[in-house]
Formats: sequence, C-alpha cells, structure tokens
Amino acid sequence: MSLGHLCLVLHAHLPFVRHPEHEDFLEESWLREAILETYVPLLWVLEELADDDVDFRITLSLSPTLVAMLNDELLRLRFRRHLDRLCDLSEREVRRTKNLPELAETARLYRERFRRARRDYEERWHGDLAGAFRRLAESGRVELITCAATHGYLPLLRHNPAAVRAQIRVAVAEHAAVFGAPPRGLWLPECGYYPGLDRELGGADVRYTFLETHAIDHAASRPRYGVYAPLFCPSGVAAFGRDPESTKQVWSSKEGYPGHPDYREYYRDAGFDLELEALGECAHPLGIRRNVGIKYHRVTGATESKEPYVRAWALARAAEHARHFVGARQRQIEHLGAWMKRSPIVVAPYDAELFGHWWFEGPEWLGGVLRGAASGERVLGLITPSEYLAAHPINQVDTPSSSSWGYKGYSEMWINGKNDWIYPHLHEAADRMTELAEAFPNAAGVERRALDQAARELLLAQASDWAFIMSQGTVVPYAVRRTREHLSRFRRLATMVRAGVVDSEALEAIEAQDNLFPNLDYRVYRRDGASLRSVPRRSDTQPKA
Amino acid sequence: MALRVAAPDENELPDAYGRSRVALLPVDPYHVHAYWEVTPEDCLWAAEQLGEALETPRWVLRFYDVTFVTAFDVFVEVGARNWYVDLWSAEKSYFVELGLLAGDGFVAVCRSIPAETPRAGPSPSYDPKWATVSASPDAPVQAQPARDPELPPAAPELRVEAPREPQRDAPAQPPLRGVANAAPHRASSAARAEAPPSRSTSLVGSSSSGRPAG
Repeated sequence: MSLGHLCLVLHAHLPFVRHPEHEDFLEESWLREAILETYVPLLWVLEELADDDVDFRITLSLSPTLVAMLNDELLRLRFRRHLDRLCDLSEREVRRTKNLPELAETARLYRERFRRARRDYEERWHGDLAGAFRRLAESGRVELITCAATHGYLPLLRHNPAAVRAQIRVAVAEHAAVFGAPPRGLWLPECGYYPGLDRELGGADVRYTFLETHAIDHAASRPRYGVYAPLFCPSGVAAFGRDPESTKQVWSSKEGYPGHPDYREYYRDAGFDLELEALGECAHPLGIRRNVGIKYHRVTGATESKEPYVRAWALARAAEHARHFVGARQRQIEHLGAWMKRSPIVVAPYDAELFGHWWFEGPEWLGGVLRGAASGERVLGLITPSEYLAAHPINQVDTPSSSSWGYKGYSEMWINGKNDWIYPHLHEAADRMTELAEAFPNAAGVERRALDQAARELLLAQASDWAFIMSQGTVVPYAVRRTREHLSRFRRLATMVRAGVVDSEALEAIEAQDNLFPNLDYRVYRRDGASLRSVPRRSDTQPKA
Repeated sequence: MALRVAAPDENELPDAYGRSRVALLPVDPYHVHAYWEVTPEDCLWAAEQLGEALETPRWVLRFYDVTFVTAFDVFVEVGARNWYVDLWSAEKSYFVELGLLAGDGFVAVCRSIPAETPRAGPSPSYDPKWATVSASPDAPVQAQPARDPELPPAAPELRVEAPREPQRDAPAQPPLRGVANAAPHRASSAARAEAPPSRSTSLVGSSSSGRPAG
C-alpha cells in the first residue's frame, strides 16, 4: 500500500445541442469539437495505457446530456460528415504548406490525427464512444460516474425537492441503462451543494460526490483531515473535497501548465486565419467563420505575435509537466503523511474539455501523469473513490457547507442581474410538473408521452449552461432562446394534458426535437417520489395509499 | 426535414402567473436574492387592510431570522419584482414576507419558504464524529456510528469481562467487527457484481424501514 492516494477526476459535459431542424447548426459544433479534440484523444491515451497493461485509475463523469448526444444517430452521422470535411481540408492544408517549412509538419500532424480519428471512430469504436468508455470501465481502470440529468445547478432548484430529485434520479437511471450498472458516484453540477442535497443522492443509491475545498473546510465541525480524507454526510454519502494545490497547477491561467509558451495557442485557428474559400465546407454555409481545430501557433508569451507550433517541444514539455505534477503530489503526500494518521487522498478534479480542446497537449500530459503515478512509486498510488471507501470504511461524519466551484465559490455565477429572470419561470414550471405528476398518477398512451416529454423540457430548461452563458456574455441569444423554447414547450404540453386533448402531431414534433432520456418516467416528479424510490426514506411521510 | 416545433412568438413567456408569491434564493454568505409576484387583487386587498394610514404605505420585504427570532425590513420597489439584499452576517436561516407597511401596520401578501445562507469560514466547532457506510453495492447508503479510528484499539478479547471505556463519539454501537464486511475490493463493475451479499445489513440496527428486494 502506498503512503497516499491520488484521485484524478474528469468531468465531461456538454449541454444538449441537437438541432435536426437545421443542416448545419453553429452550436452543434460544440459537440463535434469536444468529440474530436477531447473525448477521442482521451480514449487514445487511456486505451494505449490499458494496452500497455498500465494499472492506472481515473474517475470519469459523463453527463447524461453528453451521453445522449454520443449515442444519437443523427449527431453521429453529422460527426462523420464533419470528419470527412476536416480530412479534406487538412489534405489541402498539407499541399498549401508544402513549401512553408514552419507550418508543413503541423499540417501533416492534423491530417494524420483526423485520419486516425475517422478510422478509429468507424473501425475501432463503431461510432459508439460511450461503449468505448464502458469497456475501459470494465477493465477496472476507469470508474464511470454520472452527473445531474441536464447539469441543473441544484442549489437554485431546491425550492421544489422533486425538481432536484428528478435531476438526480433521471441521471442515475439513464447511466444504468447505457452502462449496464448504476453509478456509484455523481458529479454535482458546478460542485453545487447545500446541506440536505446528500439525502437525495443517498436516496438514489449514490455513494459519493465531490465538493469544492471550502465545502469541507467550512463543514459544521472542522474536519480533522481537511480535504485529504472524505467526510460522510449525515445521509452516509461520502463527500470528497477538491485539493486546491493540484487544481491551481493545472487550472490557473498564470501559474498553470497550459499557459506555457511551448503549448499550442487555442485562439489562433485556421477557421479565422485562412481565406474563406480555402475553408470550403468547413465554414458555415452562410459564410460564418468558426474554429476548425487546425491551429499552427504556440502560446509564445504575452504577445499578439505568435510563433509557429513545434510539436516536439510541446510533447517534451507535456512530459516534463507530467513528471513535475507527479513529483509535486509525492511531496504533498509525504508532507500530509507526516501529520495524518491515515493515508491521505488528494482529489484532483478537472473539466474534461480542458484536456485536448483548450489544452491541446492535455491528454498527453494526463497519460504521463497516469503512467508516472502508476509506475510503482511507493509514495503515491492512483485510486478511485470506491476503492478508497472500501479501504477506509470509517470516516468523519459532518455536514459540508453550501458551496460551488464557480466564481467566488457560491451561486453568483448562476444568479445575477443577467440571468435571474429565469428562476421565476423555472420554479413555476417545476411546481406545475409536480402538480401534473400528482394529478395524473397513472397516465398511459399519448398522455403519458406528453407528460414524459414535459419533464424532458423542464429538465432541458434547467441546464446550468444557459445561466452560465448569460453571465459570461458569450452566445447569450442562444442561451435565452433555449431557456424560452424549453419552457414554452413545457407549457404547451402541460396545457394539452390539463385540457385532456393531446395534439399527437405536435407532441411527435417535440419528441423528435428533444429526443433524450428514453427511460424517463414523469412520475419521478411526484412529491414523495414513491413510485421510483429505491430506498425507503427515513422521513415522516406516510406512503400514499 | 421540416419540423415545426414552435413559431418564434410562441416562445414568449408570461409576464405573470396570476398568483402572489415570493421566493428567497441565497447567492453567497452575505447576499440573497428575492423575487416576487403580487397580483393586482392582492395589492388592493393589502391597501384595504391597512385602512386610512397616516403614512403612505410602502412595500417591504420583512426578513425573519429563524435562528435568532429577529426580524428586519428592507424597503423595495414592488414593480421591480426582484431585489438583491446585502446581509451583515452569514450562516442564517431566513424567510421573508412581502407586504405593505405603514407606521406600525404591516400586511403580508405572501411568504417565502426558508432559505439558508452558507457559513463564511471555518466552523468554530471541532467535535469529530465517525461513521461507517457499507461499501457493498447491495447495502443502502446509510451511516452507522463508528469509533474514532485514531483511538487506541479496543481492549483485547482476553479481557472480555473488563468494563469498556465509554466512547464519547460512539455511543451504544453494533460491534465494530461488522466493518470487516467492507473489506477492500477492486472497484471494477465485474468485481462488484461478484461481491457476496453484504452481511452488514445487520448494522442497519434499529431502523424500522426494511429495504425492499431489488
């Protein structure tokens, strides 16, 4: 047994961006970019480690909206088409840069990557990336967990307990259906937590979650080991706290690794640098430029004048940074081990999309960390939360503090002057959904379908992404539109059900548009959650006769 | 594919839902957000209740501090329909009433459910309690009190008759031996599926709620 543990966690999430109504919808490219730049490279790295028989461990949260999109035939088709176009573009780029020695090698790099991605997507994974992650999980090296159904920010939905319960239970049910086993852990969207939320997790048989550092440090009774051991919430759900030190080394734009001058510069993309004609179908048909993922420059420094990318330098830097990270964790664990009378666990969670998409060399860095940490150094061992809890079944019981990992550590990012208008509508809709679930306890046929779809629309409206985008001021009209659309569809469906006249043509159109969560059961919104409860609650409510 | 899910103007949201209500949402330890709707009928009703007041009635959010049973008022512009309120202390539980105030007269139109603001720093309390939760996937997620793992081991078995030291953190517990049921095992789903059914359900103890099969 090593002196201490490193628990690496990646949280992969995208909002549901599926637009069958348009041939080429700009926001759908979020998914294509994330697949090509993050999920595929992660699979490359993790599968290579597994093929090399490296006994690594990593915990991977796949949000239910992301999994729904990975499994969607239309989006798969569109991803293939996108890959074809990129392969063509990269071929043209290789020809164009033939006599530009500073760019030629990088152009060939993209051509080989895109070709490999296309080959593996078809022949190795057969379009089923969720299945590829499931196979890694079956090897015991990857622990797959879920998130809330549509990444709802739960502290601001809590006024209606059924709204929170539905976000959790729909996620758990979908995960079990896709991956063949219920998740043992759940990533709380934005680490948003409040005392009592753990009861909803425990009620869905979720055994652990992750919280921001101060959720643990500000717990009701000061935790003996800080974030270096989990707390059991009163419900029995384990809360693992984020380690600030390993966070900063990767996340920080100033001190973090990804800002190193040798790494690829994200913000110089051929989609904006090339002539529009040269981009061909990779530009939007309306002539709107967008990232194509071919980037020829490196970070260089705090300058607008970026130098050409040199792959060999970047890879050497990623290997060096991986060694540095593992070394820093070893020293950290030695330091912690000197005062803790148990094996410390250092929990390092990151957004998955940081790796590859934002930080191009991130997957290689991660591979280096996993290889280095798994290579039998006695100080440090990789672990999953489940393994830790099995090895350390006694932990401090405490009530973590309300918190998030967002700006300022609480809820301000998701409720401020730019987005607070959504909450009266979201809360009203959740209350209406609960009323419907109570009023129609045994709906069948088209009525049942309308109620299930109403629940999907409510969940989609609750996605934290929309409030976040409104705060950040990026694609605000899209976020506003999505919020309004889902709430409006919800209202139309609710009105139909109430009136006893479901327009099946309209229902079919909405079902075809927002086609996620096939296993959803609207009765999850009943006040007592009785019909779907897996564990009896220790509350005072009597089951309804 | 010509899917027509909604015409653009069908996505307008209602300005009001026709029901007076107020909601309180914590933003951080020192800020809360309140939003409300007051129907015209309730506006009239509240004014009537106040009768002929000497002062012009004003709308207030009356904050009730559940923790210390105190209250304070925040004047608001009722037409704004939402307000951010700065607070001077953290870790409180409040509910608010939205109402009309004139002199000593206050007429509440609606009341929020309680909202708790977070703690702003480490707790002054250090009183560690310990628990165990069976790691078996078949066992319910339930914490059972356990002994502080840093305490010296319990008295050896040879001295079974010796009175045990009262354990401050672990009153009247099932035997700790039950913890052995949570022996380390690999976390692969295959290994989980093969794990024998946990015997630790006996640790559920006094809970009357048996767990349904499946």
